[in-house]
This record gives sequence, C-alpha cells and structure tokens, in this order.
Amino acid sequence: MTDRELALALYRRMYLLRTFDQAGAAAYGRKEIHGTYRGSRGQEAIPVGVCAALNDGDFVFPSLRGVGDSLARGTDPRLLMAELFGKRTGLVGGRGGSLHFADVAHGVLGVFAVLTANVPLATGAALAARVANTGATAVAFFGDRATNEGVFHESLNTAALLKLPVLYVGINNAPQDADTSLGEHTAAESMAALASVHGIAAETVDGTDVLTVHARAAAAVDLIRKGGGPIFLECRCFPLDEPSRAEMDAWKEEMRRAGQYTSMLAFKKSKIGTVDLEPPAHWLLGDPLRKLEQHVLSHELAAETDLAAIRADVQREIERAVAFARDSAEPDASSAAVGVFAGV
Amino acid sequence: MSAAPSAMRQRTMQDAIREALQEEMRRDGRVILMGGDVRTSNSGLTAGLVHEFGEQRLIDLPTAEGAMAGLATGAALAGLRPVVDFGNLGFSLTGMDQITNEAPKVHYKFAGQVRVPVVFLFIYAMRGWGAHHDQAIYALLGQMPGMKIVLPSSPRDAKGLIKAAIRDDNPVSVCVAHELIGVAGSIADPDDVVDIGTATVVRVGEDLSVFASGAMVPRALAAAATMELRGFSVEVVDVRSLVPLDWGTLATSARKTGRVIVYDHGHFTCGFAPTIAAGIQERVFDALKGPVVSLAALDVPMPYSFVLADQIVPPAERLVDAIEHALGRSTPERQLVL
Repeated sequence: MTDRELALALYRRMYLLRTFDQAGAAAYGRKEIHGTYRGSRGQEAIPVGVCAALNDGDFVFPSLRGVGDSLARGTDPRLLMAELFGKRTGLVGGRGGSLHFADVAHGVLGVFAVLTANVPLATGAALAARVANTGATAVAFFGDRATNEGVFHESLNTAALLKLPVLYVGINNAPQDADTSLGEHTAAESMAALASVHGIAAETVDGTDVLTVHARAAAAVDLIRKGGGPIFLECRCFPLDEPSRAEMDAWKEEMRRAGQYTSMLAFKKSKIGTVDLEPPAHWLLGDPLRKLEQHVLSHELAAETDLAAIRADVQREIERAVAFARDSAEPDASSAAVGVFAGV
Repeated sequence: MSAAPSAMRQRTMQDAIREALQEEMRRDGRVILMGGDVRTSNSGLTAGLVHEFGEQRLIDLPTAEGAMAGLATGAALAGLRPVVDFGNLGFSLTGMDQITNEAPKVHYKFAGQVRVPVVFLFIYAMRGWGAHHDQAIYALLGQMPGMKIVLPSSPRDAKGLIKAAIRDDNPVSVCVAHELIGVAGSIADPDDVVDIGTATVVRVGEDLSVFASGAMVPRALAAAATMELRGFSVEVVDVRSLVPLDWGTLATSARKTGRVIVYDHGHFTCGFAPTIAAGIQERVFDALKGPVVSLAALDVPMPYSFVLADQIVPPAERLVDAIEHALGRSTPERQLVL
C-alpha cells in the first residue's frame, strides 16, 4: 500500500466514524435511539489506526465506545445503526443496542457494558490463540478509568506471566488540564506506568495522529506475533461529546449557587446530540481528522477535492444507514425468550 | 495384581471426575483445563493429567478469580472448550462479574453469533470450615439466565454430567459436594453421558416424594430407609440438574405420591427448594394431599463449630421428622430461623 493509499483509507474510515457519530447523536436527540449514545469523536485515530494494523482472524474487544471501534474494524454501518435503533435487522437483532453487540464476521467478539469486562475476555481469546497455535492477536480497547478495576490488573498480570499475544490499547482521554495524575480517579501518572508494573512493555503515543498510532500498533503486533508477549499502547486524546473540565466546573458552581441539584449523568446526557460536526476550538489542535488532512495536503498525497469526494461519499453511506435503520422492522415480539441456550 | 472387572469400576467421585476430564481431553483437543494449580492439582480433580496432556492444555493461572473466569470465557468465545477448576464455590464471589454477567448472557444478547462452551467446576461445603468455605450458594448462579447448573450425587453421575457439561455449548456450573468427593461408587462405561436437564428416580416409593440433589441425596436415601422400617414408602428423586429443571419427572412423582418435600443444601430465601416447591404446586395442585415443604439450610452465615453447623443444614433426622409430619404422624420440629 502506498502512502497515499494508506492515508486516504485511514481518512475515509475516520470520517466514517465521525459522520456516524454525528448521525447517531442526532438520532439519539430525536429519541430514535434510546439508552445512551457513546461516540468516539476526537479519538477516531485510535481504533482506526490500530485496526488497520490487524489481520483477518485477529480478535477485537471494543471499549464502551464500541460503535467506533467496531466501525474501525469494518462493521457495516447499516447493521450497526439498525442495532442502535433496536431493529430486527441490527447486528444482534435489537437485543444489544450500543453497549451489547458483536460482529463475529469482522472479528469483533463483543462489546460489554461492564467497565473492563472486555480486558480478561480479550486476554482469554489470546490464550486460545496461543493454545490452538492460530497466530491470531487479540486486542482490547478501554478508557483510562478501566485501570481502576481489579480485573484489569488480574488480566495484565496473567498475560505477562503467560506471555500471551494480546495488545492492550488504553485510550487516555483524561482531561489534558489535569496536572500530574491520570485523572480524578487515578493517582498514577499514566496508563503506561500501570502496565509497566506488571512487566508489560508499554509506550504512550499521540492518539490524535493516526499515522503514528498505525505505525506503533503495527510494530507492536509484529512483536506480539513473534511471541514477545503482551504490549500496552497508551493513546492520548481529547474527550469529545462530553462536557469539558471547565464546563463541568461551571455546572457544579451553578448547582451550588442555585441550590438545585440534578444528576451529573443527566447533565452529560443533555450534551449528546447538541454537538456540531465542527469541533470546538479548545481541542482543534488535537482533531485527528484535521491533523491527517493537513498531513495529506502538505505532503501532496492528495488534493482537497479528493478528500471532499471521500467525505461526500461517506455522508451518503451514513444517510443510507439511517434510512435503513428507520425503515427496518421492530424485532418479532414472540422471539423475546428464544435462544437463551445454544443448541436448543 | 489386577482387580476383578467389577471392582475396577468402583471409583471415588474424585477419580470419576478425573476420568471424565481425561476421556473428554482425549476425545476433543479443544478441551483445556485452567485454574489455580491444575498441574499439581490442588483439588485432586486434575491429578496427573499434566503428564498426558502437557502444560499447553493444563494452564495454571494466578489466584485472581475474575481473570480466571474471564480468560476461560474469552477462550471459549475464540473456539476452545475450557474447564475451570475453581476450587471452592465461595471463591466464585470474587469472580462473579465474569461468571454471571458475561459468560451466560453473550449467546442470547449477541443473537447466537457466539457460543460459550465453558465449564466452571466448583466444590461446595456446608460443614466445618466457616462462613467463606461453607457456601452452597449455587442458587446465586440460578438467577443468571443462560447458565446451566448441575449437582452430581454419585461418582457415576459426576462422570456423566461432567462429560455432558464439556460437550455442551453453554456455560455449565458443575457443583460437587465436598463431603461426597471421597465416596466410592460404581461408574459407567466411558461414553455414558448423563443428559443435563434430566432428574432420576433413585428410590421408588408410594407415600411421599423427596426431591434432593448433591449431598442431600444420600441423606434422603437414609431417611427413606428409616421410614421403610416404620412401614412407609418414600420415593427419592435426584434432581441433579437445577438449570434446566426436569419438571416432567418431578411432577410425575408428585402426582403419584401427592406429598412432596424439597430437601436442599442451599439457603432457603430465593433458593432452589422454594423455587421447586412453587413450581410443583402450580403444576400438580389438584393431586396434592398437603403443602409442598421446603427443607433447606437456614438463612444464617455458616458457623465453624460442628454443633452449630448441624443446626443450620437439616440432617437426615430432620428430614425424617418432616416426613412424619407430612404423613400426619407428628407435629413439626420448630425451625430456629427462617
């Protein structure tokens, strides 16, 4: 693959995630999607860069923002949107929504709504690859708060001990204005530091630079395939589709002044679907799409008209996905209790 | 000096379980054993298997129940058929998210895209260890749709149920009573699989039915023998598969005798005794001569002293009293707490 082909493929996929998120958040705002909608805005470079480094047959266990991680792996946006709409044509027939789906055809063995639950599962898939000698690599995506769960450390210890073929991708979207710690919930300085104490090779990369993410993931997967054991890639990025630290502080102050308290979750959910396609100015430098556009244009890999053509194409694809989801039938009510057990 | 063929087939439950694991590992290369110390076999259930199958298929894991259950589930998602030697059932509590929240649900919620053929092998006790090791809490697992639960009462059933569990495409918890581990019995031919979801009548009777499982089965048989000396015929049904339940066999027995006591090792509240009692009353109310009785462990954390422990789990003598009362021959012994 030439530099141009790689850059345009990554651009198309990242723009797909961005546009899907915009459409998904809008559908959530219209109540066509219920529950919640967890987008990947601002961190598209991480799943897209990592998944581009994988082979067919590798296993992916997405984070709670599994919509983007799964799209990065190649999931059909129509089937995914239909799942979020809870429709019969969805990836898992409306049984899962955004937090419980799988796409085994693309090696996505499942999105799990319990924080960190996917980390031991990915580690187990790596164990299976080792035992069956398939040469597959397992990848787990998770955010910085996942490191607070006990099973995170249980899994990393086990993977290091058994030298399992697993790539842990830590998405550090803790507020960048946090002083020395990883965030409000973790005293350690970085996710990589937490991985290192388990004897796992770890590095921190700019998770808004898709070419870097792709290159480092490819190097990591190459080492893993050679039997070197687990590797931890901490990818820093900016939190989007979430209130900023400043907005949160302002909201808390307003609650305090008014003496009227509402839930933080309700406040956060009120932000879903209100964001524009254009990212807010405070994280503009970290927009992975802008970064890649600038790289493509400055290195003359493609012209702006090429990028515009990709964007128009992707937008049509997402419009079709929304129409497909909207026009699809509800699940058959009589199927609700069918299939609890396999083979029955 | 080799023993006679019939004696060759006498095995303890521990040996029967090991034979089941060995035969299934020979039969299917996807079967692996995982756990705290499966190579050196802390539990004895996997003793010596490492010499035949190697360290590739007997995988020792750190003491971390969440990772143990999660790795097994992930390996099952990726195509293997893991058996986790968990040790004590009480240890399941620290791995509960992976055991109950992930493994049993994924087949349904992913609309059949994946299967989770994993076996969780637990040993449960209810006497002499104290509040953490004495926990017949398999009913907790029963609240998680998608998980099968079996309790063998004999070496033959232990072997047959474990073989069925390994061949099943669903998560199966095999709960083995610690007090039965060393008890010998005759075991079946290599391919005698016991179908999960089938109860079995282990003693035929006419006057009253006792539904029991696991370690309560030998106690129920002892109580039935006592009642026979007193001139009454008690039927004992080994439930052995708690999920799914064999309602047909249980209802047939209840309809025949008209009197039922459900005798369970677990605690009463939200347990299998009241669950089965409720289901039987709904199904055969017209044929019943009295209320279906739940005789289960009291809702008390298990104390260490034998004297205290024997107040919590109803022994065979208490079952005899309950049978006498159900037959209208005595007033019931008052329970301490319910």
